[in-house]
Amino acid sequence: MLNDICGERGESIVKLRLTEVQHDGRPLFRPHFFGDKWPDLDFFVRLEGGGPQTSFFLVQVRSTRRGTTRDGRLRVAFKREAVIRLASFAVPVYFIGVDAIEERAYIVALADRTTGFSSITTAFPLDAVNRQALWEEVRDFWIRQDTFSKSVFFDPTWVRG
Amino acid sequence: MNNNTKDWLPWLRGESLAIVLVTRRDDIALERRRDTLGPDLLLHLLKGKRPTGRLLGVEIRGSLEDPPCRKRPKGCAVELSAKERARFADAPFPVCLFFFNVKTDDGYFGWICEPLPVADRGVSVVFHPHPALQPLDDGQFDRIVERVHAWYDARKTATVKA
Repeated sequence: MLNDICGERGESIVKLRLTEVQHDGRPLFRPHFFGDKWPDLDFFVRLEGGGPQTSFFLVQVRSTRRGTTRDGRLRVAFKREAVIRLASFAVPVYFIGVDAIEERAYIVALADRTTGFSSITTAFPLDAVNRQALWEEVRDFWIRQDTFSKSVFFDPTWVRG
Repeated sequence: MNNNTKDWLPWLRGESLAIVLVTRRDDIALERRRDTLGPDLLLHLLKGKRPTGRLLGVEIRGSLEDPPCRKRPKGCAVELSAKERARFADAPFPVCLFFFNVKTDDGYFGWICEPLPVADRGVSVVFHPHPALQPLDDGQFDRIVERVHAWYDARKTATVKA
């Protein structure tokens, strides 16, 4: 029962971080929760003010109460099969790890990833700076309509596939 | 902020702020209600991580502003809608209102169905169509849970005596 609460808490923290109102009085993102019927994906996230076309990205969320490793990585695991399924999408896909105790969320890009993992970098907290960078990265992807292989949110310790 | 944002942001952030606040305690399990029959959140109060059957309802309001009556000298009270009054007038367990300003994340709380001391009215909840609001934070929520537990304890004692 408490594991479910941790997941619910993580999803709510992600919603809060994604929809924080910016200096101009508007949020950058509108997240839509997929629900339990699609276990590999949690959110379809639309860009607010992204122009006439629908610009969006997909998100998987994992929360933990176990904090970070000795070298400061968040202890959240994701299986190889699920990573490969998500990384194969031809749209931007991100993984968000949530520290359920500290109420912090960290984002990494899943493109090109081919193996599972047991932790992620905490270099990219979902703060105002990274929200803006995320918005611009996804908007640029949809303007170019190119493959999603370049991201500023790659975990530096992961070997690119 | 365009009209479309005003339609979805208050509810989404209000619900998320409520869930994050109540799940800071490790003795709460929650149900999110998708229907319009009861409160938005149904909190199950746990003891030793086990269910107790003790329920606390939470109705959520999100807004882009503070509650409209905040600066009145005698405090603040909001009015329940006709639908809310119909849903909670005969509720058999405590229900409170959480109001959030989703721009500042400031929270307020008031009793819709207030658990009363046994000596006053028996073991009962009293319905408030105009819940009086006060600031909501972790300490306030701890006091709410404490009061609800005390009400259930009193109810159990009254049942045994009967």
